[in-house]
Amino acid sequence: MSHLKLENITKCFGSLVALDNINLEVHDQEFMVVLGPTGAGKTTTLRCAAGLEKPDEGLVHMDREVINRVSPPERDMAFVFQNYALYPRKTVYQNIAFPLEARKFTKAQKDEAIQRITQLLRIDHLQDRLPRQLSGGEQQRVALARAMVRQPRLFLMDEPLTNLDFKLRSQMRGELKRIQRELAATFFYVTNDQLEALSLGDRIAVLDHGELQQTGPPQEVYENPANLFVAGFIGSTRMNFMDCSYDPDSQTIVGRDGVWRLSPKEGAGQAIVANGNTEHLVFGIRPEDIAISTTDEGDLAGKVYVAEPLGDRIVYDIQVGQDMIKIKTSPTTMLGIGKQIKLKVNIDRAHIFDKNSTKAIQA
Amino acid sequence: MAEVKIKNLSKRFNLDSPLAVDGVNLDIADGEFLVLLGPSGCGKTTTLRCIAGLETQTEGEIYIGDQLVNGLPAGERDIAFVFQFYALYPHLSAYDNVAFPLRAQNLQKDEVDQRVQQVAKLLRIEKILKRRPTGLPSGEQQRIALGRAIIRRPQVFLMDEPLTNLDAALRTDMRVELKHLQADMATTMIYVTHDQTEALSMAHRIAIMNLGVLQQVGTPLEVYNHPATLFVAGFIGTPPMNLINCHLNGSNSLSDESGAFTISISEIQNLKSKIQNPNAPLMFGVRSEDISVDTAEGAGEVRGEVIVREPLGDETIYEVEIGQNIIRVKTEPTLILNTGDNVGLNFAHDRIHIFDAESQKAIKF
Amino acid sequence: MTTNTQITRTSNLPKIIHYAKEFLFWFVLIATFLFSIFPLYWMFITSLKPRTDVEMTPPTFMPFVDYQPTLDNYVDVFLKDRAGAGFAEADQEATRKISEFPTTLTNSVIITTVTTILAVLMGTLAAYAFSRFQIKGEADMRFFILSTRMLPPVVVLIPVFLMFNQPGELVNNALQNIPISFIQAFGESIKDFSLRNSYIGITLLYITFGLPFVVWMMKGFFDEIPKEYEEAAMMDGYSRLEAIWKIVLPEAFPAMLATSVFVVITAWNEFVFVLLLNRDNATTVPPFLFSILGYGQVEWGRTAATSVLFLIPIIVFTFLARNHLLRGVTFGAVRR
Repeated sequence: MSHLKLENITKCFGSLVALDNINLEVHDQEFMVVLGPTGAGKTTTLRCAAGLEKPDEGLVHMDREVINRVSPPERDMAFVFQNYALYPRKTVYQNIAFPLEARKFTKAQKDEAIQRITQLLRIDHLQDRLPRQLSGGEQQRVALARAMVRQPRLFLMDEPLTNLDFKLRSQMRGELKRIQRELAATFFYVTNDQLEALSLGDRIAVLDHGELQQTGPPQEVYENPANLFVAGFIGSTRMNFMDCSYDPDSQTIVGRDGVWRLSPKEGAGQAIVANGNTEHLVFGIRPEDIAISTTDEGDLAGKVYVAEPLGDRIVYDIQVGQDMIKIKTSPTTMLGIGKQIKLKVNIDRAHIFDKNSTKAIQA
Repeated sequence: MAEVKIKNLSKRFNLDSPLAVDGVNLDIADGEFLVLLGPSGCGKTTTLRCIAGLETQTEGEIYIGDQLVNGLPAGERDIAFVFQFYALYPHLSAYDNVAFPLRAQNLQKDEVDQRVQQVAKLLRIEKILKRRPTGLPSGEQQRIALGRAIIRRPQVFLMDEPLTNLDAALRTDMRVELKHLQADMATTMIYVTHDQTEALSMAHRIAIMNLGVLQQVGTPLEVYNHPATLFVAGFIGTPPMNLINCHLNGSNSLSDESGAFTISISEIQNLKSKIQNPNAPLMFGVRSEDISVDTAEGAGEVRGEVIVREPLGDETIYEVEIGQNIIRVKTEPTLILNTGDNVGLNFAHDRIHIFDAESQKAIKF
Repeated sequence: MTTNTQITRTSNLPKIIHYAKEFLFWFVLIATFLFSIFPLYWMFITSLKPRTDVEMTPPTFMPFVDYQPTLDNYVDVFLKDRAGAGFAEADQEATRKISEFPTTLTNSVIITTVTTILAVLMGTLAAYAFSRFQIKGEADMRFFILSTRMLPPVVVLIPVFLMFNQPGELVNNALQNIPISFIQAFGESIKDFSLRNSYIGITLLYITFGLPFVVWMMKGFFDEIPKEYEEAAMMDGYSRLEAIWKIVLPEAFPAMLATSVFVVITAWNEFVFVLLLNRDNATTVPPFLFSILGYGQVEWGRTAATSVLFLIPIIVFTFLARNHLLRGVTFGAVRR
């Protein structure tokens, strides 16, 4: 069993509050991803779990036992560092054997364990090399092998794929998920890449400025972001945000300077009124939820600003009043720069945020 | 403003090292946005630095306009270079950084001021002109670096991965800005990047390099839809194109070694006529969005087992194992499959690619 | 037209510039080399000159051509006393007054070795702590340590002399004020203790001089070693001390060696303090060298020979450490 629980964790570095009252659980055999921008406190969270950092306040539990005072070697966790931290003077074999030596494995046991893990990660042909003789991807695998050669209670991973190039990264994503399932291991994984978080995580915890923003399965976080930060951070083409207000009389959402009006989805109007702030709102809609109108009718009118072909799709930047929004279209849609077009909005998938509290207003 | 011509450009750094740039020929039209794309170490930056005059080529000729610029020092080529690390002068204010190239030209103070203000407005840095670059957010430093490049109104802009150090959101914004800016000024731009998304979204044409050799030059849609080599096919697109080792088999189909992956091809005769050796190793390529999933029992051209599910929000990618091969399929986020499910796959036959595995070249059929 | 002029420019002019640059580069390089090596060369050939040739004006520089080299000066180093008088074999009284050079050289070796080992070890540990742990007032402490290097050592000459002269007596005076008999007795017993003319005293002093430098250098090196190395080792199941011993020290070794070269050279060359403090016992080579200059007519040949012998250990040590030295010094540049 491996069940990690962080309870009311607060950690300060000098006057900087790195973590502010974090509550987080990682369940047995779960792939838990902490997602956030640089400086959000993700790595500090991981280091508190590892014991490399002592929280100023709060408790770290492992299987119902408080482990605040347990030293890192005794916590029986494995840590994969962003820069891999391979021992530069040791060969690949010696690097992977190092954690086993601390546990007094015999030579035969060592060889067997290393053979198994290097085959799983396809690095068995590299055993005699030194880290500097390896490519980034190979170093990454050695770091994983060193963590996985024993069966720790918990794997802690600090942006392990960040230093790989784009292609290798997408390959390793699939591989990591497969390995996690094969080993039935518990992963506590930190990244700043929302794509990694969505694709790897059983659950995602979004962190910003040391505060937990939202926790949930990938699809839930994507479809029902709890606040403006989560909405803007998750999604490969950022959600479009437009300042707006709500007019209770006509029951419509009104864009800046009144350039557009939309009827919100069922119940949203009442929720906005109940929230008490009808003036300072943000209308959020993902690029894939806007379509180009084929007729003269449309919810929004705008002008094509820039076209970005991405191969399997084209993203257009459209100027709507003072706002710039992005829409995703099929790769065959060709619009000239400056062309006036009408857009249709899938209102059921639109989000309304309170601009003051930044929180989503749930209908 | 000028066109740029590169003829047989080669560069070797040391006598015993391989060619960093190997016989590159490239014509860049006046006002064109050309992106040099490739992995690190492919020679793209070296090519750019040769054009700039920061490196001297071992062989070949470079023309800017109709002037041969071999041996002409960088300062006399009338080009502007934006570095990956903005290389702003830390002791000068943003204003002085932007004005710096003009100082060398002994312009009137009024004119300098007028041009700095004009550029600042274009790049939206009017408010930070008095500040020093250190301590400014990276996006603004980048704008200052761009301002310094733009202000001289050079014949050609050269940019070396200028967006690499920005965070993802800012990078997307700056992509749009840069593209718009270039269209506005209609100045020739040669832009180096390793990021295929950047290349696809900004370029008029993309020149893809690998190991010093130019692989393909074409519009974004051309290189995406008709990759000329295996390298291009694998480098462009998210996720990378599925590539499967296979060969022609007796009937009208292609199959892999084990036969687990077998697909019949309607234009097989056409394909056969393009291949000299019928046993030649081939590579079958198909993009993940050109595959559809059929969950009905026994359906699909090939069948396999779902091994990994990667939800990405607006789409979901499944890895499907077929024999020894793993195929990635892009689906709607609403399609939910579980690992272990046995599913059928259908391919969009007008969008499949066949490559000669030995020469690495695409076979057009 | 433009094209033509361009081609002329590219083909001729840069070539001349190229050769000129190449020439200038080698000229400066060789000139600098000769300039720095010449004093050493002069010293070396002087040590091989017969007495008659040493003081010739203008001086001669080519052994075998200008004069026949001889090892007489080296024999003199071991067989003459300070004043330069030789010993007749039969003279029993004089044989006891054999040259002080072997003794001072041994002293130099002992003092320098102990100083270097202790200073580097202690300094390395302190530097590690400064690099890795959050220490209250760290910046002030580091500045304080560094500041001891900022003032010329000679300014502390007199306090150090007084301190070293009779520390036992000072302690005794203090202890006698305590009306407890065994403490007073202890005071009596150390009354005559002095740090002058002792190995311990001068070694302590050299360590004091060497430590700031070691701490300062090694802190820089440790900052370059990612802390993730030890953390990885700790996650792998080792204590911090084990992690330092197994991972960090092997990494830091070249740096330690590079640092120790500087400590060795400082201790080996130190003159003023040892001249003042260790006049009678535990004297090192530099004061000895000075002393043979001081009597009557200077014997340049013998002086040069002594200097050459004094140089040899340093050259050997630096030569053995040269690979590490280079790696250590360029450490920061190579790492990333």
